[in-house]
Amino acid sequence: MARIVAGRLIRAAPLLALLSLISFAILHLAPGDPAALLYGVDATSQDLVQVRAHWGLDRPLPIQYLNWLAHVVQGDLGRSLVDGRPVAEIIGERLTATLALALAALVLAVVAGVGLGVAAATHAGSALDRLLTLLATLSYSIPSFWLGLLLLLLFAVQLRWLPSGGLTSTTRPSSVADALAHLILPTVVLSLPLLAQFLRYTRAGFLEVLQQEYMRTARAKGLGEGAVLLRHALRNAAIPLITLGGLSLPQLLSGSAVVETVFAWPGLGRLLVEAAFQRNYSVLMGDILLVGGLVVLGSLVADVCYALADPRIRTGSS
Amino acid sequence: MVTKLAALILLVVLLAALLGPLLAPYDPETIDLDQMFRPPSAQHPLGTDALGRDVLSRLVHGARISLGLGLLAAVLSTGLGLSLGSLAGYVGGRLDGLLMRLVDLMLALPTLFLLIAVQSLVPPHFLTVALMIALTRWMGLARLVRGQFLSLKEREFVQAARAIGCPGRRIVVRHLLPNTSGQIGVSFSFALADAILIESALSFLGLGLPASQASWGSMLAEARASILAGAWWVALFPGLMILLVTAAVNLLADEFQTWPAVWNHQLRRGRRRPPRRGAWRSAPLP
Repeated sequence: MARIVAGRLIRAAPLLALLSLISFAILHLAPGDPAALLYGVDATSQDLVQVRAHWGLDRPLPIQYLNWLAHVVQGDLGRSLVDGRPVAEIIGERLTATLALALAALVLAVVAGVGLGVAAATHAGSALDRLLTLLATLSYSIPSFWLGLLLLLLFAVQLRWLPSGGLTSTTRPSSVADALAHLILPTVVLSLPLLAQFLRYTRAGFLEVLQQEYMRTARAKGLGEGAVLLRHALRNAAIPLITLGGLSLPQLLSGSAVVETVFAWPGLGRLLVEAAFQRNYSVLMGDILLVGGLVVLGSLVADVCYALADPRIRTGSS
Repeated sequence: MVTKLAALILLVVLLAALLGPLLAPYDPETIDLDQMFRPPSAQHPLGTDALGRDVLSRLVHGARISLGLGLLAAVLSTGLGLSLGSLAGYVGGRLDGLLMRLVDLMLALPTLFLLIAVQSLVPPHFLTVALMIALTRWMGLARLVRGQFLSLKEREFVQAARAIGCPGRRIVVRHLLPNTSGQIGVSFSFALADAILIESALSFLGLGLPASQASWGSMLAEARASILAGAWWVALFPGLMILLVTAAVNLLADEFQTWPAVWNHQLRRGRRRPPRRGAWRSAPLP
């Protein structure tokens, strides 16, 4: 297992390097002086000279990059161009909200997607199957922000069942129920395209597995249908699903930019959109770096799960 | 049934986009403050928006922008995917390894984040938006074409072509690419649907096309305030257009994947089963 983790970390290195290069490029492509970008608002010319020396911005570009990288690894991402607060602090505040939303959406997508996919595969060709397949296509053709607006209009404005946005209510004392009520709509909207994908992959994987001979063997030795599906079919069909789960993190985080904006969810996605609007490049840079780091972490977790589900990978034989 | 409906929808929208100015009952930009927030009626079939502009006319004009940008982005990303995929598959070796690593890298990036960052750096323009979308959406096709090339390269007709001294470029263009045309068509359709969705998301966030080119996404961005004022028609119709067009394109592409004509010659040779529906769908969008 340690070997798998180590190997994956080595493979993640180019991705992290690319992300850091992109961030560094933003720093230099953004209009204005990089030193001013890192110092934040109200920098005097004396401050700028100091910052330039501190971050090594008066040296050749490759050296600058390494210097900047050394700061970044230590968590020093510069200061916000809008209010001068450290970028790391601003991002830290937003991290939990995004993680909670992404995790909730992933769980919903896996549970509902796999469940419906199994239902579609075991009734292949039926009206239910055709309906689910059509709904799946529709749900990744739907613009998520539009769906979000319509759901807001229905559940928050018309029916008043659910809050219209934010993390918790400002008027009422915060409680778990209140937080969950705020989580429902953004989770549904964010997870829908992923749910559709899980449905299709599960359906396709199951259809293939159901024809295998070991399925007949399992039934022949007298196993109940539930055990056949869960222990024999699902475990074998799950392997592509784990890959999908690992790849879904970039997608969920991308989606969060839109969904968090619609539901005023104070996460990294909304932070990115705000920063892009305010041309707050230091925050933009830090946000992209952190999200990239999360993606790397996610694919690492997926690889470990992969090994747990498939003994052939664990033992290294094919 | 569903497929025919999808084709019909697409045809109608394409015609509307082509004939745009002839069909639109009003000028899309004319502001008429006496006609603010009129619900759908005989005079304004889809109502008017916060500035009294006719929603139907704006939809018809928006179709040109949304579809035009989607098509341009899909052409660019297909071109990019084809060239890089062919290069990796035909040349092989170290170049192949390098390009496939690049594909893996790009697939792991949260691309909408990058698009948002880039849009904040450059002034909004039709061409840059299309190009940026294409740059984040070529990887699936590149991987697909490479895989096809790797297996086709070993087939007799390619080896025969090489034996009679065909130059590499001719082998790629005349022998390899035509044999992947089915997949290219399907991939192009998915790219078109995705590009329309990405553009609408960017424009909705206010980071897409310039304000003078109002796409369906920008109409929705403006509709956000109207929806709370109860003017549901301002938000409903542009979103419905995006949904209808992307769903129609996706459904047609799904159908095309299972078309026997595309796969026939490969089937007859017993080389390959028709792929499962959705088998090449790369990650869909938010």
